[in-house]
Amino acid sequence: MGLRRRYGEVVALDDLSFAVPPGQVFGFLGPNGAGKTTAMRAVFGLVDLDAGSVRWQGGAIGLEERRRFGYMPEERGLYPGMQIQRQLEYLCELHGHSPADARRATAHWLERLGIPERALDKLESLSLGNQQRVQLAAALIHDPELLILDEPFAGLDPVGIDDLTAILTEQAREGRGVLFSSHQLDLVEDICESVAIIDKGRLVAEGNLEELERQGSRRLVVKVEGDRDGAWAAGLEGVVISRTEGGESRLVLDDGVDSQALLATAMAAGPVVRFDFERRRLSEVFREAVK
Amino acid sequence: MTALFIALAVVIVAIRLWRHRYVRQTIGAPDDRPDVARRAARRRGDVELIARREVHERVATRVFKIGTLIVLLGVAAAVVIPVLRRSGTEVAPVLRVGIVGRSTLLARQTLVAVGKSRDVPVLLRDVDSLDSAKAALRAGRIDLALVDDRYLEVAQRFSASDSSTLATYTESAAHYLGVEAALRSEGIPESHVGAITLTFSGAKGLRIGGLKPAHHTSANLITALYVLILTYVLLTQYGTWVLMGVVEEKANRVVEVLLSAVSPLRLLVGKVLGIGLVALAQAAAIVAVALALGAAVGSNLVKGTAPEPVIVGLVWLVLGYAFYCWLFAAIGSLVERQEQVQSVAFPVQLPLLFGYIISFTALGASSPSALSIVLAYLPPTAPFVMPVLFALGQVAWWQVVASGLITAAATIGMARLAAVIYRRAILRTGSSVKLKEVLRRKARPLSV
Repeated sequence: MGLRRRYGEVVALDDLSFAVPPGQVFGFLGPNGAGKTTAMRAVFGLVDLDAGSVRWQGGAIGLEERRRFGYMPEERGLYPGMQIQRQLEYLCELHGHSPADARRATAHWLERLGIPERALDKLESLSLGNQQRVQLAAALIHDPELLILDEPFAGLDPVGIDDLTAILTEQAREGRGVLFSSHQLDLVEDICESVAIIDKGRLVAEGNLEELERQGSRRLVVKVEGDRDGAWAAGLEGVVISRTEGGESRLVLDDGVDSQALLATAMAAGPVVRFDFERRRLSEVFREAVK
Repeated sequence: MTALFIALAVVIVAIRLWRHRYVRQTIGAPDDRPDVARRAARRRGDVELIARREVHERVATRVFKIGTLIVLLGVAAAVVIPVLRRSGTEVAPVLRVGIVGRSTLLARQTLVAVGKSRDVPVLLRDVDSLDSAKAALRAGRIDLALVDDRYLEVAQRFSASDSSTLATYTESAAHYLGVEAALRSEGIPESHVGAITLTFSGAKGLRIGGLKPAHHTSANLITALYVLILTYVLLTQYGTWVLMGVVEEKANRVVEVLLSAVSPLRLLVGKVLGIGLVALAQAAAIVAVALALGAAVGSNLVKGTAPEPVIVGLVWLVLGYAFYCWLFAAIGSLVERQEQVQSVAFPVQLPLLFGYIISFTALGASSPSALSIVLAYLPPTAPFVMPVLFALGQVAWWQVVASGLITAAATIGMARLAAVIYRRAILRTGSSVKLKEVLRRKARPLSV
């Protein structure tokens, strides 16, 4: 709440406030340098805040609370020369679990992530994709109540993306809070129920994804046979062609534009085979929020 | 030696008991336990866990195993080679004893008999005057002179722990000759004296005079030298371990994951404690091997050495590590990449090197210089200078203890400073962190 952090002249966080609801996958978006990583590090006390505080279930966050969170930093960090199994067990114990629990959790997650046979290998001997899986296991190993993942999809192959998507959804379904940052907006749109978008350290949009997509100017998809470029709509007042693809034009309408009049204009240009209102895409929400 | 093994066994048992209790506390901890007690157990548990990882990861590496083996082989060679060389030159030495002035037949027989009991042939040679005897001693033509049956003269006085053939022979001969002289002065006939001497040990031995004062070519000098070299090599090595350990965690960013679960202070303490335990075990192994091997081959290192210099050396190694480990850790937290380690380590290694060199010069001096006395009380140099001065018998026990207390107090200050630097610098990435910058930043209370 009200997070502020400056690095010299650069404002990393500027009165940033938002809440991550439990049981949801929450997308944390923003252009490069917007302050996403700083905000996530602040949750774990890895950044000294100039003002504001991060709160968990209404209370301040101390070490005891942080132990119940799972963190995957942007710059991946584990011991390259340490055995994977020992490494995960160590991290699990460090989060307050008994050695026996740590062994069980390690076996479970290595199995779940498809690398049980690499348990005794050193981390550095694994491919980058598999190292990423181990890093994910490190965030999940202690059964956290809140997961905070900085760019978890970066560097994953399509199979890895599917696995991670399944895991994140499953974690949220079990009632945990899951927050992750990403630049892959299509992916975020598929997985997340809510998002927060920040720019220059400030919150510029937040809320349920469907609601965000429903807000703002109306989107209209129109297909007029014989007019692949949407030339019929060019120059119309209050109408902007945001994209044309496969003969379909995606139009952004000002509030005052009468859709029936628009339909009539389209029909005059040729047979209208599609005339459909659509919600904003997340990428559009994002661009409008950070422009 | 036995004491060392017993001490090690006690430490191991204590650690096991502590662990056992901690595991019970954390696993079986009832929820209504007082919060403070649970947190204290938690803190201890974190530090122990981190320390255990350090111990395991370090001991498991091939570099450690091979490194330790090489050090042990080096120590073994340092112990065995002088013995082999000595036995080469000292095979059946002949002791040449000059007899000056009046001398009884019994005294001559005693001189030969003492040699026989030690498997050393003794050659008696009459010398016409004390001056000629002194000249012969200086020239090395004789090893020892008996003057008027009243005292013995050698070229150089023996130090208290000298275990050379000449020293042990001379001391033994002085004892028997002293007893005989005492019995004779009581009027017991010479024919009876020989039989009584064997059972009479109350008299003072003859005085042993020396043309030159004793110097430290004796076992204690060798012990001091070994302790000094070992302290320097091990402190440099263990300091580098701490430094590299901190840099590794920072450079790999694993520190972010760790600090999301433990406080920087616990991470730091666990690290230096873990590495310290490995260091102590390695140093104990080195000393144990040196002493065991020394005892087996009859090295001067063991025969002439009272255990004190070795114990004091080990204690100072621990104190030196305790002082320097924080410094190395703080420096490590300022570094961004492993390639920068050499340049930042250099300023820390300077006082180590300085203490080492000063101690080396102290080894050659018959009395300690004012500089070495001062340096023996300064925490950065005391771990080198103080054990050397102690081994050479140039400082008293209370001085060692006083200096130890000063170093311990300085260690607490150093630990606090290092914790502040570490806490502020370990998470700052992107470029190397300037020490001035770190110290200038506003202070924040350290969470434990």
